[in-house]
Amino acid sequence: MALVRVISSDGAAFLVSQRLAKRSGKLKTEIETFRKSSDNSEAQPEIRIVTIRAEILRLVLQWLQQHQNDPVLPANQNEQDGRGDAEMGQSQWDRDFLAPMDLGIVMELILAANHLEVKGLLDITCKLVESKITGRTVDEIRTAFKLKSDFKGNEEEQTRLENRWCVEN
Amino acid sequence: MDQSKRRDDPFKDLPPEMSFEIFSYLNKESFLVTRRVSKNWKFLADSSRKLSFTCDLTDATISTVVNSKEVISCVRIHDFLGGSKHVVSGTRGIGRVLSAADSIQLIGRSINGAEVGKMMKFAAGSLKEIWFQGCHSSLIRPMFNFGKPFECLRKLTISFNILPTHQEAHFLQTLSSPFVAPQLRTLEHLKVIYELVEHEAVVNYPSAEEIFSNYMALAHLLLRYGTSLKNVEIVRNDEVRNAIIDHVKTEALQFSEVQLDELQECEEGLREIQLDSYHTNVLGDEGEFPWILEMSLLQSQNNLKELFFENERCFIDQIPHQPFPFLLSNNPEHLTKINMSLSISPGHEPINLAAFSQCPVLKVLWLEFYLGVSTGVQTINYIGFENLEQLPKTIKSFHLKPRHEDTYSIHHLTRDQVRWIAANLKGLESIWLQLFLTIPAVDQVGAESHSNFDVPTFMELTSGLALKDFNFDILKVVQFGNRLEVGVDNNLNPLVFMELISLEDVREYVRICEGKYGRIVVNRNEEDRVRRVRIAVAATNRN
Repeated sequence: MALVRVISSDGAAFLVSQRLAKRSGKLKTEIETFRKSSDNSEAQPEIRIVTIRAEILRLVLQWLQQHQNDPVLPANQNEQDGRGDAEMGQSQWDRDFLAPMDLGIVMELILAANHLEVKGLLDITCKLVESKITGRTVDEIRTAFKLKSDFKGNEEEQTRLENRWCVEN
Repeated sequence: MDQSKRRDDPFKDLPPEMSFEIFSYLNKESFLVTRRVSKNWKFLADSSRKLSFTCDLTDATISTVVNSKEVISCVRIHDFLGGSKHVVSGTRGIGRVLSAADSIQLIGRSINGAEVGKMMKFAAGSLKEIWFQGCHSSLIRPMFNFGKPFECLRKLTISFNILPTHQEAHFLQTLSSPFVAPQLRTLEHLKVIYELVEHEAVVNYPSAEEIFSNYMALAHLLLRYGTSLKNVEIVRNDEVRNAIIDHVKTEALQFSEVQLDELQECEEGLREIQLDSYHTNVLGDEGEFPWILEMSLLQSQNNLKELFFENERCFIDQIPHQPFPFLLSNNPEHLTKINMSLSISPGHEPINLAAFSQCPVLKVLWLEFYLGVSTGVQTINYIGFENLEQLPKTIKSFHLKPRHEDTYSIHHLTRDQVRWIAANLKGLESIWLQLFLTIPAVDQVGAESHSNFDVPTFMELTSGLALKDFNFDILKVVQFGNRLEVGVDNNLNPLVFMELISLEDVREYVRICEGKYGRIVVNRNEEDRVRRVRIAVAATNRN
């Protein structure tokens, strides 16, 4: 089985099958570039991901492992033909996978999924953040995201007024 | 990502496009809630999409738009939308919606003026802008004539999507009638747009009399609101201008004594109007349209700060003593922004930029020259410049932008001129230039390069501390002694096809930019791909 060594920003190396790695658009490109530039067809590619630390990279690879037999979603799939997959394709495994994560980890996972071009993971993580917003009040969102209002004077009231007529009608 | 660097708001670590991705999942209500969470969330929400949805109130179809940039609420009222047979009718509900909006846009010929008038009672006190788009003149009087002034209305936009006829003239006349004018005492900005999608599709062209009456109606409208107006925009797209110039026999017009008096009266009246900003796409030159009054308006300006001027039919090289229209105003020294688009003849002399030294506080200078006529086989038209070093050093935005439709005209600065820009316009925030990479012809190897830039100059150009965006069209040309050719094929094909040349040279300059700005997108769209590569950087890419 052909393998590829993927190295995180903090130096941790993950040895994974090329078949699995190629489910990431970014890793696939890197592997193919390595193949074209290498004289030795048996050489093992080594890919350094300088923006993703080990804990997050491990989670991405874990997700890829679980979904290795899923159809690959095109990276540019848009709202019309792609939306809904995040919900429809979210398995119990996905829910269990995401459940223990705090928001900071999820945000890093979004960045990593975007960087590595893993559309399915990007969809479910964005959807997870969206679910922490939808249906909540302003105060509930601030609590969930550990935020304080930084509006000054009547800025918040002004924003509320901007929204009011749209909502009421 | 270093966790220790993470700030409180998790969205602050995400690139905007990722935040937009998340916000795009939200429904309308949740989306609106995000606008109230924090300033950053509001900014991201407003930047991510225009919130647009339709309200069905009684039998009206209204679409509302929360504009992403200006936090204005624009309400659009259509006459018929989506095949609905309903005519917009006024209700208290719609009036209440309108009273929360800064602007309304009325679209279509069949809007019922009486019904809209009912709604205006609620909105008159708060509306800042009204836009009539292809509306009928019967809409106007009931809309304004209910005895309540529009105390906040600053801007009026009227756009016509057909060639002007008596009906359009009547629309403008009604707006300047004694029933309407007293309601619009605060009007500062008047914008009149004539535009056609394709003039070849026009079946019936208006008569010269109709064009004239429309023009006079426009002049009277300016006169009516002249005391409060600060900004005037008269916009005609090329299709409209070409249709009128090519198909309407204006030279056959015979003026009566009354009309001549009216013309003179208008001309004198327009001289009294003092504007801050004037934008005009002139219909034609005075030879073709002796009754054009837009130049009179320009000539009377004493304190103009911004000028946008486009004239397709006036060749600046044919009026050598006064090539730049801003010189017609009395005090060009107040101008801070000039945007001009002017045609030139093939084989013209270099364009003398010395006149701009009369604008000591100029901040924005955008120039665009193009071939007004084409003769026979198209060859590249090099537009040279002289006295560039007399440009005011106050300029912050300098564009020598190629005209989209005229890919054969090249604004050709010399290397010394590019160096002068880099060395002297230190406060530049925005720049658009055409840069040449020359390669010597086979028999010219070793000759001095005529590239108008080199690596040090390029680095200096892009090193301005204030620079927020730039566009460089990089053209590859072949050099024959002092002569440059964009492409070589015995002039049969003046274009170098980008597929046939290496982009290594361009890449070097991209690398220089990327060192400072991060990732650069090199644009080669279909229109341009044959002979130029554009390096474009916007402020958002800046680290």
